[in-house]
Amino acid sequence: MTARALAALLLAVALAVAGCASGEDSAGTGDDTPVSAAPTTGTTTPTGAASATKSAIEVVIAVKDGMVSPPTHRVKIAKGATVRLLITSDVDDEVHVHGYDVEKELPAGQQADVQLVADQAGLFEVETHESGIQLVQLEVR
Amino acid sequence: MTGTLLAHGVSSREDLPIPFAYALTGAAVALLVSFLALGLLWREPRLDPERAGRPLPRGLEQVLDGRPVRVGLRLLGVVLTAYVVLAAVFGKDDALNPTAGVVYVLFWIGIPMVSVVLGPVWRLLNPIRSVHAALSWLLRTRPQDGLARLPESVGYWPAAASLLAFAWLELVAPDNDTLPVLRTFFAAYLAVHLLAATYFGSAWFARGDGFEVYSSLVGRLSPLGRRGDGRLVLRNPLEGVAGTPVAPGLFAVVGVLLGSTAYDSFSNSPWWISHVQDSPLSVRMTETLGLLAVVGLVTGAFTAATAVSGRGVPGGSRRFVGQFAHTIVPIVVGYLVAHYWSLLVLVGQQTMIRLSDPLGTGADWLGTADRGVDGRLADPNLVAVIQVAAVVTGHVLGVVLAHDRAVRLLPRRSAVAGQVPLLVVMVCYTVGGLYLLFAA
Repeated sequence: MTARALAALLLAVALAVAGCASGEDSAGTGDDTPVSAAPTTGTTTPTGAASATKSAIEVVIAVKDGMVSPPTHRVKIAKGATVRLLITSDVDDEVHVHGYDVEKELPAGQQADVQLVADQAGLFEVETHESGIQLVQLEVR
Repeated sequence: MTGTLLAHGVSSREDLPIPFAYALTGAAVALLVSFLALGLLWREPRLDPERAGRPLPRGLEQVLDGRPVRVGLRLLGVVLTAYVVLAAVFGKDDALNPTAGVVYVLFWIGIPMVSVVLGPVWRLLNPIRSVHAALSWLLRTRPQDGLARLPESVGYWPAAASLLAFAWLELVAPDNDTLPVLRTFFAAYLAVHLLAATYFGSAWFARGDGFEVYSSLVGRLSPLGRRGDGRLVLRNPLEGVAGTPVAPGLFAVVGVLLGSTAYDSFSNSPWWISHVQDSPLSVRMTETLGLLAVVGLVTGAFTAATAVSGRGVPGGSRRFVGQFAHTIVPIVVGYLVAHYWSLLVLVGQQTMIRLSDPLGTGADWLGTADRGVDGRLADPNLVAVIQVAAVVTGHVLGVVLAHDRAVRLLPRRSAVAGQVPLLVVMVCYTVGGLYLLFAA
């Protein structure tokens, strides 16, 4: 009885996990599952068409006295979209987009314009090299 | 994950948050299984690590336990370590040096994963044991003889401390992927454990060397184990874990492992990053306090639950924290797999490629230099499924282990009620773990 109960238990787990996995498949593979509210208005402005897939996404970030504004957050991006990071720092620095390995100089006080096509899925940090501050995270799926 | 480590190349991709439906399903299954287990599972203890298992054929056992294999594994441990030391001491301190990848991925994540499959492998490879044995030979003493006996009350506390020190190096320390920092840490680690082993004899390693304790602890989940009469057997992994020796500080080892993995996940959340960057304290101080807080929370919840469970039993409140510590081992492994699977797949391959040129001279000693990293096993959808399955499986195994130990220790009428506090804590760990995978 008891061994059978354990077997039944494990079977139930297996079924539930499998069900969970296949359920997600039917819900739409690769689709952007909205997890939180839209990114803060003003910081992230989807330009162009309303369709998320091919629009360019602009993220405006300023670093002053070691503080990031808007505070470090996550920007959801549909795979394949173009991302434009407009970054201003009050000291000379360098910005680095992890994973995509894009690097760009950040001369003090000048806005740097970093563009990339988000063609690989994952979560990627954007940070400054000198001061080691994390600016934003790109959630590409 | 692993902070600024390996900031260049494929490794700097982090796992996407799991879909909410996955987290919810995982949590529901964990909850359901926990309470079904109370009602459905056995009423008499069944796990018997002393006697359970099917012995391996004598011939195979003699080969595995034989001197050539044992000495061969010792030599292998020394050769592999020497190879990495070569890269760490004579290699270029740049992003292509394999040392950081070896330390934080192949060693710290890979060895425990291999141990889950094959058993306590680091005990057999541990190069510090080999250095100690060589030293003993020079001094004409036996490795097991020290100047004093290791007191029983010391238990696993030194291992918990060494693991916490390493977790701090991995998750907080500045420049932790650079060679001087790695060399300093491991030189200090070697010195401390060599001295301790000289003083207490080689018994020190099984209780004090965090890496060996980690490998041996999760190695108890291996289907290959040793029965009470010393025979190598194939057995139900739960029997192996149930046979974990109870000693002081075991709960702290488990708490450090679970807590540091949870902190690694938590520390990636934008909320925590903003908090660290805006804190009036220094970044390192805030991160150190964060790490200690998560480890303390995880360990404290477990201690409190076992104290409540043990109330009806003479001395139970104090004794149960050790009696139930092993039940968290599968949960530790579930977290380990969930949080580090893609890192192991991607940076593991990347490190194998870089190991081919340890000195940064453009050499290709292993013939792997031209290989690419195959990302198929780290496909985001696959990773999400593996993450949820690992966390839930760890939870289920933990619940079953706790149930068996409860019916062994508690009087029959209170065995069910006595499990509830620990069950609640396990559900919290699992729901918390899934929440971190979803939100952090």
